[in-house]
Amino acid sequence: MRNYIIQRVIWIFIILISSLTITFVLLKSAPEFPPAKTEEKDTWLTRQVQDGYYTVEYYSENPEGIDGVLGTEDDLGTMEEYAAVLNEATEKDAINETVFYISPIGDSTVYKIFTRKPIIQQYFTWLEQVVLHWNWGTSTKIRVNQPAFGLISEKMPLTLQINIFVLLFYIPFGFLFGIISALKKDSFLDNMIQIFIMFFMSLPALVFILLLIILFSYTMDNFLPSLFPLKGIETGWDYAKGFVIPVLAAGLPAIAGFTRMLRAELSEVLTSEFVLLAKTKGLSHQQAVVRHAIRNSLVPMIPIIIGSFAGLLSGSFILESVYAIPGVGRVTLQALNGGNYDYNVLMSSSAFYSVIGLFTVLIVDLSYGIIDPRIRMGAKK
Amino acid sequence: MEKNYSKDYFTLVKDEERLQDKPLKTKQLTYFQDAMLRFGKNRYNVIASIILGLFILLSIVVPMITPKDLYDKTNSALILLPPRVPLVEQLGILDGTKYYKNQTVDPTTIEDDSVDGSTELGYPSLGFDPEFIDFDTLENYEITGSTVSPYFVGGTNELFVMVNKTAYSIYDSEAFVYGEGDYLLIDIVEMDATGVLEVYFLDTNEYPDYINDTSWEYATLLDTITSSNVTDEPYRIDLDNTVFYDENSNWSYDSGIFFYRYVLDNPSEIGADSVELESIGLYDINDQERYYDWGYDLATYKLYSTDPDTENGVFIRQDAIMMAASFEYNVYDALFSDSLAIYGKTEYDEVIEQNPEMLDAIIDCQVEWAETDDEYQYVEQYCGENTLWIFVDEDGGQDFPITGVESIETKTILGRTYYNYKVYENGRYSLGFETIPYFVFGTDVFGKDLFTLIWLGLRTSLMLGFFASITNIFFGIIWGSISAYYGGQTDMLMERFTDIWGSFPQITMISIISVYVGPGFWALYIFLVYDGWIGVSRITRMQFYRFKGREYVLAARTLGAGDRRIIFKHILPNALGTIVTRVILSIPAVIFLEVNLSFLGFGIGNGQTLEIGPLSLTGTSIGVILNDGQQQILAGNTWMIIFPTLIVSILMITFNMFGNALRDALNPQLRGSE
Repeated sequence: MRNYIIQRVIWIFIILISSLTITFVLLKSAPEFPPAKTEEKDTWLTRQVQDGYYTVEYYSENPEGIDGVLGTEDDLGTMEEYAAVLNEATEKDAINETVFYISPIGDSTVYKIFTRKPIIQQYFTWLEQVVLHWNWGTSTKIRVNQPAFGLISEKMPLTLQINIFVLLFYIPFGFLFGIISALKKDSFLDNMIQIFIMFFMSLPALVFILLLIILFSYTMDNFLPSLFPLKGIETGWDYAKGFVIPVLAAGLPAIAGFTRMLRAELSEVLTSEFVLLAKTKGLSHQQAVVRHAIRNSLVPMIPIIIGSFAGLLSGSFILESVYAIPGVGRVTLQALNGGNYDYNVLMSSSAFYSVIGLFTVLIVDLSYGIIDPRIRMGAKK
Repeated sequence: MEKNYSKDYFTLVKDEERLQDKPLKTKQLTYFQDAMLRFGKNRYNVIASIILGLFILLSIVVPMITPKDLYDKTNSALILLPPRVPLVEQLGILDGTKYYKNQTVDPTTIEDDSVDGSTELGYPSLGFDPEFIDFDTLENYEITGSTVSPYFVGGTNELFVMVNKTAYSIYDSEAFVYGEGDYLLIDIVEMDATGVLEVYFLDTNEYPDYINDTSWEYATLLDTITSSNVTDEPYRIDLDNTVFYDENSNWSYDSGIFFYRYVLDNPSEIGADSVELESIGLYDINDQERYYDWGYDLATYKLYSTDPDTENGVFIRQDAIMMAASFEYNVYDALFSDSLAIYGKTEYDEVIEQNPEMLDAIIDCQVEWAETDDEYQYVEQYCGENTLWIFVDEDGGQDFPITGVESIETKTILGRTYYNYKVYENGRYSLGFETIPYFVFGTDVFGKDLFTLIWLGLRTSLMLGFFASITNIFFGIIWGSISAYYGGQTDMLMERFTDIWGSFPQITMISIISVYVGPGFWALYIFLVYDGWIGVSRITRMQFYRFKGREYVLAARTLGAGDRRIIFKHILPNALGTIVTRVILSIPAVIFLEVNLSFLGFGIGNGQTLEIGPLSLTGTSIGVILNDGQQQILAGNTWMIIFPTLIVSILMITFNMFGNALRDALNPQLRGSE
């Protein structure tokens, strides 16, 4: 058991690191999109130099005239050199992709040229920054020059909150409908539940949330808000009402899926021999069902519940963007839409989704062993 | 002990007969015949498959037969037309009418009973023609709101001071004339005790340029109202002679304005300190009203602060009531009805020249017609009060570009006379339709036919699902079969690779693809394919493990067949049925994904074209249609959501049923079973 856990954890880490590495290398090999405004661009690039992703060269029309601020006079190049460097970069099509220049701002008379380091150097710098300083870089678009990971972690509570609400909403109903439809198989009630399942399985969550908005916001005259209310502006009750539509939209399809699985599992268990044995021993039908059948059918359900959390989380992407919920998914989409990509925010949210996804997988794997002793974990073939 | 039997001991049985296979008593069926038989057993699945086939056919045919103008071009005249379906419209649904809610009532229409008897109900006049409002469905109700608009009446107005500020002021929007013995009545509903309301007066005769930084210097403080003064009765301020007496001007012709300044003792902490005003009125000595501002008039009072750093706030209207109407409006009839237009003489003559039959159809409205005349009924029906002449053919139809002429204007410029015809233009002709069209699913925000757009979007989805599946099958089979066939170390390494590749977070992949490829058909394709093949390779691997130990594989190897031959000629055909059904079952998920991604903006946008080899197709996606539709929900144009939803849902249900039926039919274990 201990070996198995260690093995799984190591494996998860290998996957995590390799996926983050590939993401980093691919994203950072693409052209850079620093902030649009010159001052912000300057601040951002200077920060990149400090963190070790870029190198900077200073130039001035009057190299001798300036000293002190930027170190010795040797640091300053002449304008001829400046033009030469820019020409070279232009020939390589690197201007505004990997090479950036900043003309003097305000009182300064210093011209700057920032050059991106090779990807390998950047990668190791990044590893060092993340592991030692937990520095994921700063945002270039969403909230300029603010820590990118802070942006994501600030949104995490809301995203997790909604997903936990969905989990709390769908599990009881899923169990209820699943058990009813398995026990009363082929009855009228079961058929109704089957239709319900069919309906929600074939309706994209996206469409479902739109239909809910039509129903609750348009037809019922803004009974529920058509967009997620902003905290601070709305009062507590109005804010709480904003959760109804997203939780319903994510919860009902989840209920349908869960009911279907539990029904299949429970009907199989009900026909199994140990339930028959229990009845033969003298248990009533009810006792046999409650003590033996239902308990046993729950075994494979626990990992499914845990696993569904990661699924809900990736589904909340759509939810957040349709219902304007200021969560991680929406921020990620903002970083991704409209051309000028915010790489550091994308990296941070990739890390967030990877970690949650992979650790859910890990917990599911481990829970199999804890719940079902028949699964001998870590055993050699 | 050994027994010895003589040869005679044995006799040959059936020596004369030849041993042969006996003919089967049952009918022989090939694998596919049997599969088809079992497929046809389940009625529901057959129906689902037929619907699915119909959908696929429609998605190919509809975009081909619809005129390209209707779905490719923005048509501003036709935007947001509701659905209108032939035959069904007789039932009163999908008949091209649209239900409007919360439309501001034009108060002048309430008394107006010339249109439809005396309804005593109001309706909006702007943008709506009362002729096409269904008065049976017209309802009036009140909406409470805080909009500063003359349509909103009543309510109170609340003056707030912002956080960290100490005061804020309002003043009359217009100067007033006052006289001796006037008094001011201020009806205050509520005032927070943290501040007081100061009333200032400024003589505008003396200081015509009254609103500038120096106003306060010339304004006189009349009174200070504290919260203890607030009662049910309005607070009264008598205008004092000492304040108002002005040597330079006559009492009775003087004018001025009042300032109302809410001042706090300390800077506001949470910005909730306020004074709520009901009305402000000025009365003369005989209690005659000079002005009385409440509701909207009070809300139009201007805001003022001497120093924005210390004085700032908001003036918010509350509980105002608007009369709103809801009704059904016949959008099609309104759009395609005759409308007044100005034609020049040459233009008019051109129309007549192109439609010579119009000359025969002229009926003069100005002549006195006798009731016995054939044309009398048309004159009564179509001629307006001032109409000069109309065009009506013998059957009473008005199928002409112009249905009548109301008046002719003449203008003489530089000795030349120009004629302008004020004509009734036929709405259908001006929009290019011969009859009122049927947009069965309505039109979208660009005036495109939604019916065609949906099939176009479906075509994109299906094409994407099809291409992605083919690619996934191709790579999945190669990967899975190699992995399983060689087994051992190779299998282990290849499996670990798919593990890592498959656990890549999708959002990361979307990011990378967007950065490198940019949104569009190929971005979606790559996204669906990059890990889609893993599923196929897993199934292939499982199937291969099942078959690779079989005797026929051993036999083939003994006969000298190479690896490639064994994989592709012997094992794969056996495994193919299972693999293909699994892939077909995965297509709905592909369509789901495509809809979602297009909605988020990663797919095919409006008006993008799809280049596949020599083919150039106009592309859109159900996701994009839904995205456009989402903006229209609160405006009541819900058909843009409902119809795509309906089609996608039906497609999903039928696809799943078809897949399940196919899986059951192709399952060799069920062969021959009833």
